[in-house]
Amino acid sequence: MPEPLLSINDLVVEFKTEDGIVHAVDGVSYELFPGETLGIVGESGSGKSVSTLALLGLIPQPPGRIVQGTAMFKGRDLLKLKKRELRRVRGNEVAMIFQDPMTSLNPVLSIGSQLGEAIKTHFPDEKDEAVKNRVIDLLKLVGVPNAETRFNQYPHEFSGGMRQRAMIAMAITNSRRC
Amino acid sequence: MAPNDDSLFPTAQAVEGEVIAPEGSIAPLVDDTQAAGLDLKVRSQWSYARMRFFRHRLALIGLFGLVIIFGAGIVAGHVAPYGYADIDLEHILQGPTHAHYFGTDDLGRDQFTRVIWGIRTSMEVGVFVAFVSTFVGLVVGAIAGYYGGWLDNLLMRVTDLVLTLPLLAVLLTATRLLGQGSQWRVSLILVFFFWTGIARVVRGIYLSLREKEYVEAAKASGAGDARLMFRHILPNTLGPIVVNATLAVGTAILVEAALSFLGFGIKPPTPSLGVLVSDAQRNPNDWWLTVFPGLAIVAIVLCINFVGDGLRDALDPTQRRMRA
Repeated sequence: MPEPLLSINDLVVEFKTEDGIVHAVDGVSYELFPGETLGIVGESGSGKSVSTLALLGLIPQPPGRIVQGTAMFKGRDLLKLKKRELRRVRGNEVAMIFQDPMTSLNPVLSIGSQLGEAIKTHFPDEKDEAVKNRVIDLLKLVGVPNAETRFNQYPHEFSGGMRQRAMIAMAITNSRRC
Repeated sequence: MAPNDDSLFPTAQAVEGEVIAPEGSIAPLVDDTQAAGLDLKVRSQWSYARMRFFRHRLALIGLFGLVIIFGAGIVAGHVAPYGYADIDLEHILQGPTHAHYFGTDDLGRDQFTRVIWGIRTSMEVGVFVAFVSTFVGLVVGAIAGYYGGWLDNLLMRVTDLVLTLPLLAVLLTATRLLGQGSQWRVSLILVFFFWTGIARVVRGIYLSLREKEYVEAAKASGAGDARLMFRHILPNTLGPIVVNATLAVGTAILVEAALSFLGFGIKPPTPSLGVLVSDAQRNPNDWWLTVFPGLAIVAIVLCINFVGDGLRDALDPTQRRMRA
């Protein structure tokens, strides 16, 4: 039996509010194996987003607090990584596709530069030309027509669906499988 | 539904019975030939900004005025017909003539020459103060707004402290004790008062922008604090900052003029526009001594404000509306 890629064990996340403590995630455990796809389904407010955000350290603390639990990813506990180490994981080994394409892209940066940045953050030595080609390939991959032109355009020049696809492209920029 | 029934998602294969696209490829979808409707002239964001700016009539007028006035100031040594300290005792307190366009003062110095040199001094003070105070305010505001917490508290209380100082009293004391009539010292003292406004504006923008999803998205793809602060948030603050900076040039010129008018700013004989108006008090009946430097101040500040306004409209990439 192969090792799980990601294994969450008894994760508890709380938020301290004026009116008491909100138990957003209360003892979640799951394992994810290489090549597997895991869908998490639940009602609004059941903690799907919070449990995922917690993995990348994106819960604002305070008011949030990770009370207990471990999230083992490739032998390391994501919840105990230092800020710098966590940054290396984000967008490189673990990426997120944000749900709202209208607000998740920076309005003043071109699509190309935003995607390119996700590459440059993790591979600062990469040549600009190579980054650009990679981004254009990614845009084609997610089905954005005229990728060369779209590269220099801004989010407001994209349709909602294209923005969503750009977000997907952003999440998979550093995946070496595609 | 039968487990093998894939009719919910009919593929090209299922419909046509033959493979249209090779496995794993979605190339036909993104073939550029299919996007014929997009065959428009592609403009860069800068060319849009330029277009918006040049369609802004007031901004153009302001820019035109500024180029002429500041241009004259920059090459003052070449355009001024006389030296700014040249004394012509045979033509004292003369009204405007062909030899002296703006007349002469009580020492027989050519007022036109002095106004041009005064523009140069005032321009240097204004631009220097605007640049340095914008930079300081930007850094303070960005750090306070981005990090929040006790750091924000500390920086903003310092800002409040500077803002609550009685401007005129402290300025007069500081320029008297530290200024020594030097243009650069006076400029630095002005910077001390000017950075606060921009710091507050920038902090406010950072406070609201750091909560935006695109900042979180950038964070989720591994961007660090400095990158988030200066690459993702900073460009969003550009509009207000540019407007503030341009306005600061105007305000700095005005404050310097006021200080010099009161005799606490730049020491004569260096002509600044404020010094000229101040000197004119000695001869209140000779209107040309007051009116021309005064008009220069008004014209500069007005032009700067027009340009700032135009820049704000032009630099906002989310604004698609074109001015007719």
